Amino acid sequence: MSRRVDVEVGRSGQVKIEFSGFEGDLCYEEAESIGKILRSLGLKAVPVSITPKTPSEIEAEVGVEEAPRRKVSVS
Amino acid sequence: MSHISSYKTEIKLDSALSAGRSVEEDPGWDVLNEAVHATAEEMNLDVTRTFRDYYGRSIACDWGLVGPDIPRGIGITVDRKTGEVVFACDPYGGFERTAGEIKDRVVQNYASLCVAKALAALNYNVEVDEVKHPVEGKKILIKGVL
Repeated sequence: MSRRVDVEVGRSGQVKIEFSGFEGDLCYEEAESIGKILRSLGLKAVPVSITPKTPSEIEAEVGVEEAPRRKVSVS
Repeated sequence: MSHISSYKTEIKLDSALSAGRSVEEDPGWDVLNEAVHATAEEMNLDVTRTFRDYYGRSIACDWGLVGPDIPRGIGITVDRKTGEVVFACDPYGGFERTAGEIKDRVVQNYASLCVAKALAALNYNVEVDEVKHPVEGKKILIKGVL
């Protein structure tokens, strides 16, 4: 699954960013990287809200994850 | 996990200043220049270096935007000590709304250019699109795929 960032810039510069296809906390790391570049360009982005996607939304993006397999002894 | 974040934004060109260089050397200076010219094209305005007050006096600025709906113009100046971006105009006579629309559009274009550049710097394939919302006005949509 490819990683995707969708950004909506509203009137007077409000920014809404949707991260899709990121595993674990990678989306937060990517948000930090983007924020760092924006700051260097003179755009201070102050978070108003951060909403994690629901399990069903993530499932729709990346598909159902298989439960990790573990070895069992058979005697 | 993935998430959705919302931000309010503010322009402040202080990267070069904090490194002891002039504000004209700030990476945001060229972005602001690009945003001003994009706004001028979209709103049919001329880019100048001055705007005027009610009495016709000319006031110097870094970028001025003048057009039929705002004949005195609106001035944009970057504070050389702090990097703050100041929008100024003499709205007497009913130009406040037009001045506000121009300011909003400059800020929106600036934010969009910054986001597109940030995604490109992180190696995303970037696509930019615009939609007109009946209530919320123009929205700029930027898609980055890695």
